[in-house]
Amino acid sequence: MIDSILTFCDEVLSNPIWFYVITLLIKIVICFAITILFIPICVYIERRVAAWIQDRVGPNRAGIPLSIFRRFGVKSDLPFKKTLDYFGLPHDGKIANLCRFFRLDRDIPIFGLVQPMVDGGKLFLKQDFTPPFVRRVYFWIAPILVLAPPLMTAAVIPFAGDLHTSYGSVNMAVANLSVGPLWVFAISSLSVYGLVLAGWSSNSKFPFLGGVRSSAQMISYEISMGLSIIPVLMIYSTLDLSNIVEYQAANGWLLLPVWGEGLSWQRWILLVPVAISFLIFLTSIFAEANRTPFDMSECETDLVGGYHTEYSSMKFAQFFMGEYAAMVVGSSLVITLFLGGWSIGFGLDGWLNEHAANWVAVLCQLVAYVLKLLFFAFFFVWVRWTLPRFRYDQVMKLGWMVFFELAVINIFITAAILYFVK
Amino acid sequence: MAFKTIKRPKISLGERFYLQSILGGLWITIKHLALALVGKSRNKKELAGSGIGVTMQYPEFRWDKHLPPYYRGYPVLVKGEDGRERCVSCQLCEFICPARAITITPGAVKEGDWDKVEKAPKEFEIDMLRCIYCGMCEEACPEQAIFMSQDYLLTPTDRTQSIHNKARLYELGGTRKGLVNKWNQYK
Amino acid sequence: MNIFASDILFYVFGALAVILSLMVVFMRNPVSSAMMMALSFGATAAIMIGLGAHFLGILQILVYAGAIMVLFAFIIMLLNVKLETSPFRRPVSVAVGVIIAGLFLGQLIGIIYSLPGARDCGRCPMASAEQAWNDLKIGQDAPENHAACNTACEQGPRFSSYCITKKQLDNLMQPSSRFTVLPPISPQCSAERFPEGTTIRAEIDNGEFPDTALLGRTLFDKYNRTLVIAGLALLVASIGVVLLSRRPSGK
Repeated sequence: MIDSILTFCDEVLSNPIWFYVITLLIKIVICFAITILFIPICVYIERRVAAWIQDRVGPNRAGIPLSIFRRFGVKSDLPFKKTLDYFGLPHDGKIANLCRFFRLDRDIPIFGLVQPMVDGGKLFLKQDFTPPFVRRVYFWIAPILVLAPPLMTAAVIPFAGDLHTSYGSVNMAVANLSVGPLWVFAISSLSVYGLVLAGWSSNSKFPFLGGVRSSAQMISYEISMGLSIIPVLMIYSTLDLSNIVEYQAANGWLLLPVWGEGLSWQRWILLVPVAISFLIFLTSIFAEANRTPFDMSECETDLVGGYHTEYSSMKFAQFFMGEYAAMVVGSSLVITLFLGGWSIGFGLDGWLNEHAANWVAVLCQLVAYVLKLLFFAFFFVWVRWTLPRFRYDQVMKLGWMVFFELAVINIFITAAILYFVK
Repeated sequence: MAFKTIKRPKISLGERFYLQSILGGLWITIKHLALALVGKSRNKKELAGSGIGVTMQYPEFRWDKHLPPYYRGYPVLVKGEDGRERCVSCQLCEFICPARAITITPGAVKEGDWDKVEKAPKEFEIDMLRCIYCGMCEEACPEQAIFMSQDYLLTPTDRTQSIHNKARLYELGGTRKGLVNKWNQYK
Repeated sequence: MNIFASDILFYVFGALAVILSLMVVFMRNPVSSAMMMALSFGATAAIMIGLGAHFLGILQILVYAGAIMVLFAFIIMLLNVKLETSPFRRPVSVAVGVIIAGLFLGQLIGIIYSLPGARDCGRCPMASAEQAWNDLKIGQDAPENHAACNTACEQGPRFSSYCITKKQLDNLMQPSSRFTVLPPISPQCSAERFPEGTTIRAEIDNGEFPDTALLGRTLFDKYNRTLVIAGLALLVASIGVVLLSRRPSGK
């Protein structure tokens, strides 16, 4: 029986088309799981880190709700009197003592990790209210348009090195396009439609202002974002994200060239334009994800709630999920371009490939990638609680009069260095 | 027209990049985070915090000992040392209450030592859903009968519970010592 | 003959692009029109990606759907353009529209006639595979290329059709297949056009379709002067906008 199943699997996997389809499905599941799971994790990190930075405790109350047992007894005398009675157990027996020892009469707060789940549950259960004055079709489409693009863009990011199986090797990006970063830019630029449509279809003035602001801001920062990575792509001279990461694994991360070929002095000279691009790119990612120094479109002080003022329940939550997903994808792109993607770094990738099984190496790389993502999730929150929100004219000025020029000059600097030094 | 012109501080070239101040800000926030993580948040003793931050873990720890004497909790009615209910149902508090939370139904005093007082509330209701804890009733009261207590824990499980009637108000208020005694059996 | 997924998708997205473009015209609400236009750009980009020109398709989305249409939506919303209610149109504007459409149609026909093999066969250019085949230098004169091409196509699964097999060619050559699919182009077959050592050649040898490099080469080689002029025109336009939008300095 088992043999026949195994041979069947073997036959299926030996067919290159089936092998391709099956591995593709697995990759989609992993990629999607990472992106979707990072949304509640980001929410948790956001609340936790924000609390710590502000000298608060953060979410710590929601826990595994054992306090429902309290209903069966009065807390002052014995927590479980009635519960114990119900099961016919003595009040001073071992079970009662165990219950008392583990304080089973209260919620067990596992570091407040239950909080994101409870939040999600709350959002699902809230009344989904559609105001009577909205433009209905666009009002309903808008949240989808915000959430879908970041999830699509995650497809091109390689989250681990190649996995070699006996049936063939698998590239660990869902779609290994030859135009990776451009795909991310193109699709993530579509998410602005969600914000604009949300603002417009709400048919009320503050959301509308939010939508208009966000569209202007997104377009401005897309330009500096696109221009800022041109020097990086000139250095790599490829648009293939898998190749970019492999190059970094072998020759040192772009921002940290301390092994392989990275020790050459040319790479250290190149660090100057790379650092400039990194700064511009990172800031633009903040602007594209509508994160705090740049969250002009939902700035409470002047816009009530911005483009999502009229939204409630899960539609409202979708805007936030979109923001966090954009954050995850943006940081994964930063990681891939500047910080070595899945590579563990310090020459350890080559060492792992030589001394350990291939799947161990792939697993370690996946873990390294997730750790880097976690760091960036933390970084986003850290910046959020440090920098105050810009004024709108400051945002525009920074985008058009500083970053745009700086990015263009940076291209010429890189070209000069590449031409004269290498 | 005495005003002073304040010069804007001059920003040097290095400061214009803001990089230094951004890094400084990041340093401050990460310092707070690190101190909170090891349970050494600043001012945790003064604010009775739990270590991870200065937040007090509320139901377990309470603010009660730190309450200032002027703290305004929920309003209560009190009795004097002699056991007389001090309210004479003059309805000043009812009129001054900006939220119109107080409703008094006046009635006669029972026969006895305090006949001269003439009036006492038949019913005295404070709607705690309306009360804004402003303390004006306490100020207006000529009889030192209504006070803002130091208690703040009111958790009704339905709306009817949050309307305090006379019995409940006296139960919450109890007796208070050292009040001026305007009335006795002779006046 | 083999039918690739991309062949079916070509017609699906082509039909979508046409329908959505018609919707742009027929929608009453200007915002809806703008959205339909963005969607039709998406469909066009899908066709390009299906043909293997990833770079061009992505640029279509990035530039047109992602930036220009957003600006359009921005302006429509900012100016608060009202719904179109009157069915009456002035004859002058109708005439101008017809003329412009006619000009574009003429240009399109011209491009189709300039396609390889279009005039020689005198048939529908889509079926005139023979000339295209010859242009790509796999005629009777180079059987070894032919063989290389066939083996390249039989290796591994390919979901997009960069290659054409001999069998496909034979099918295409039959008179019955008058309106058949566009012959997919094999980059392997034209590898020798590009000198050894270039990026394009290296990518072709890897079995990839070097659309990015080819596009760059075409733009900066063949159309370099046009590109520079277009860039200058844009620069002048943007400087003009800056000047126009500047407040008078006296106040």
